[in-house]
Amino acid sequence: MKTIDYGFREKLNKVLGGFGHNYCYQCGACVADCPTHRHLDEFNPRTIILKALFGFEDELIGPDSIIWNCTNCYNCHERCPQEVSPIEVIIALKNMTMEKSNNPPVVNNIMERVKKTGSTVSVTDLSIKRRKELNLPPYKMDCAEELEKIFKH
Amino acid sequence: MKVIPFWGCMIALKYPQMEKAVRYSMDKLGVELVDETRFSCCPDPIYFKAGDKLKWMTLAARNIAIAEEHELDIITM
Repeated sequence: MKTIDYGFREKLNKVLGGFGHNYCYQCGACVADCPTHRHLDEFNPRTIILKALFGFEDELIGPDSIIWNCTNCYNCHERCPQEVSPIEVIIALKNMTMEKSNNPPVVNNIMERVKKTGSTVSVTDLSIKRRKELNLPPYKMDCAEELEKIFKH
Repeated sequence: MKVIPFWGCMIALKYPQMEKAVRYSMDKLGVELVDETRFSCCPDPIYFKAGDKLKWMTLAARNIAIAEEHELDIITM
């Protein structure tokens, strides 16, 4: 028999945006407007919140978790009558996944790139050439030093 | 009127034609654009935010704080 894992819920409460799951009364308003659910039956914002309420840690923040199928459209955030904001809870769960390194590698790649260059999109020969053709000032981001300080914490 | 444009990296690197159009029309409207090179990216709201939301907010706050230093409004594309 499975029992509610309050330890996991307490951890989730402390992550930014994670506390909202406590307010969910399982109405399912988020499901109707979810574009991922339309194409993938297994992805259901309501059951994700339910699993968080039960504290099913392995299912939510284990490897290949279903939460990574979320498109970040924020429709559930707009629909939710309880201000749970399922998307914010999903993002909090994703943040928890990072601590266990169960996240897809693309997340690390993008974070590393921002840390190094300050931008998400890489500078390529083509982008430099296109800016030159349009007579735009050269692309510059002087933030490496300050970003290094922010990334240390 | 002066404003600080926040181009981010997507407009500046992937859609420079949009930057060109904004610069062209702002000039016609008599709005001066004060370019700031210390901005970082917004940063990316999908993967970076999934990695660490607190850092994501900190970088965004840093960008806004830089604009505040100039005491000018920030515009985004």
